[in-house]
Amino acid sequence: MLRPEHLRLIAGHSVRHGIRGGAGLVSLLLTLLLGLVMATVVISPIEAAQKQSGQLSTMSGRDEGETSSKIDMLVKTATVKAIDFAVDPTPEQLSYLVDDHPSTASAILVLLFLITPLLSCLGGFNQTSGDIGSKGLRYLLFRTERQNIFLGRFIGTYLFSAAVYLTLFVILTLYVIAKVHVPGQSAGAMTLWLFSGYLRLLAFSLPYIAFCSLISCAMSSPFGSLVISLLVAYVFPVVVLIAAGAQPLAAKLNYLTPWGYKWWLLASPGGLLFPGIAVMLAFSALFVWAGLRHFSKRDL
Amino acid sequence: MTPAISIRNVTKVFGTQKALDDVSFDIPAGSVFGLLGPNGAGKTTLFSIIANFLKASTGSVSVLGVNVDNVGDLRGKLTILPQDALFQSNVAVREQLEFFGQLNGMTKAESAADTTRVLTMVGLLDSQKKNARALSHGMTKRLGIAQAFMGKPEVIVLDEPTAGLDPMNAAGVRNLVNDIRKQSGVTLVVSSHNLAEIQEMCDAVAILDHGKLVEHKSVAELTASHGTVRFMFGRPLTEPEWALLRAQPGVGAITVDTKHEYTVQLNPVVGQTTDTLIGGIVSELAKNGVVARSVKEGASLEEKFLEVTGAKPS
Repeated sequence: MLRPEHLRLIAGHSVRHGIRGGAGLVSLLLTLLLGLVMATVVISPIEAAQKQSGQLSTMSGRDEGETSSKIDMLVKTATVKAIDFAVDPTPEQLSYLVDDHPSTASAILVLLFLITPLLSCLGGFNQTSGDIGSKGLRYLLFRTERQNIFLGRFIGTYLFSAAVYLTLFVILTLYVIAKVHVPGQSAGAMTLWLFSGYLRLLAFSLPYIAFCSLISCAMSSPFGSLVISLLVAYVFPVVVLIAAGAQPLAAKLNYLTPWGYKWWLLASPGGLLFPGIAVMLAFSALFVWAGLRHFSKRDL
Repeated sequence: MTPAISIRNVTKVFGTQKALDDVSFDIPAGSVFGLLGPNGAGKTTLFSIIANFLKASTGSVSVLGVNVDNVGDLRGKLTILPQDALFQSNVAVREQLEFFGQLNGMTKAESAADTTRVLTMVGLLDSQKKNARALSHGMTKRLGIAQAFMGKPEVIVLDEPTAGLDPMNAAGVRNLVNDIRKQSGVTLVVSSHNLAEIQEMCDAVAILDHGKLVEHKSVAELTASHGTVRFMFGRPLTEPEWALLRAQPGVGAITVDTKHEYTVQLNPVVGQTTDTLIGGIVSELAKNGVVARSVKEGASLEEKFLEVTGAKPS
């Protein structure tokens, strides 16, 4: 029997103590570190180009507007290349990411999407496995139904991850606004697009955290849970990538996991965005259902 | 009357190992019940099935008439001290107990008040702000007992509550059990390797051995004398003293347990009681310079335990 009050209590407890546990702290620090590294990868060349063109315009006495539009062009070209490499987008999606929105933020979002499964696994691997190993769950098992424990911890982990990502995005937004001064990429536009990207990233992380719930409740070793979650999250796409080299049709296998649909979440609302969200919800529901089923029947 | 706990044909298999083998018995409501058995007999497995930590391979367990698969319906009525379960190491003692109290159905304020009560009861109020990892083994055990005594449970299951406690704290736990015994309707199920403790606290016991139920009786029945009296003297009896003992009225078979200990089967006839026979034996032997150091009627739970499990004291 699901008890909303218990879900609230367990999720709240999980969020409150997520940061105090070693895993929560590591997750927070790695998310901030990797997120900022990704942003730096995008921003550094832009910053260098800004400096160079600034010097050029001073030396040659060229019109600043002309220089800015050149930078804008440079940034867009570089971003298109980066997005094209990672996403293989349709012309519509490329235009949506580069022309309709600040391209710098788009490039950062693309890179962040590539590491989202890693960040989600780091935040979600120890939802129950540690307490199964230490038998600490036994203090809860006679106080509430197992589904409340499983779902409460899943919700708590997701909220904790959402808070960590929000922290990252706030820092990223400030960083990008401070560093990038390109026409057409105003602070307001950048902030709005990064916030939208944050929500899209939350949708992408949901099935991975749900998958971690499933793996975590099946194991009594947090380390084992982390390794298996990461293997499935990344080894499968790599194997598909290698197989696709020999047989292009093999690339379709990626659609067996959320990884295959990730770029749908960076599409326009009129395009694949909402089908992408629906797919993420469907994968999440599947993983949560499988986890609940196993957790309800296993020895603890 | 509905038993507090009803165990029906419970078998539990781990891989190829049968930890419990078709175990069935009832635990009466309002009793203090002991679950005994040598290491690996299946006590903790049975406790874990009662608490729904483990699922029975076959059979069923119900507590207060509720199948333990629906353990949520027993919220606040059933509490357990699990063996070797760790608390969250990085969370303060008070916070953990308040969280448990709220899951038990208490409001935040009720839970805070009850936490103060149980922490005081186990002598941990001074440590309430410490994280669980800062507690010693004994303190952690007492914290486990505190969480089991939260609220107003109707069935309390304590898996080796005094293991690892010093004599003073162990006595404290026994006092808690005796206090609970005074509350009508509360059923306590306790396992312990300290059989004297079980004999002191419990009304009835079940003994498990190799996963099977080998005995299920009241403590009084198990330790009843049936005319068996053990005499311990300061030295071995000489031949004449032995003859004198044999010649006393009502004395039947005599077995020598150790050099100084003799178990005598008394057969009182009409008009005699065991007391008068024992009094006569002690007084006659004393007149001849043999003073009994102790006289014990009936078997101890430990002796019965060793008898039914076939174990030999090491």
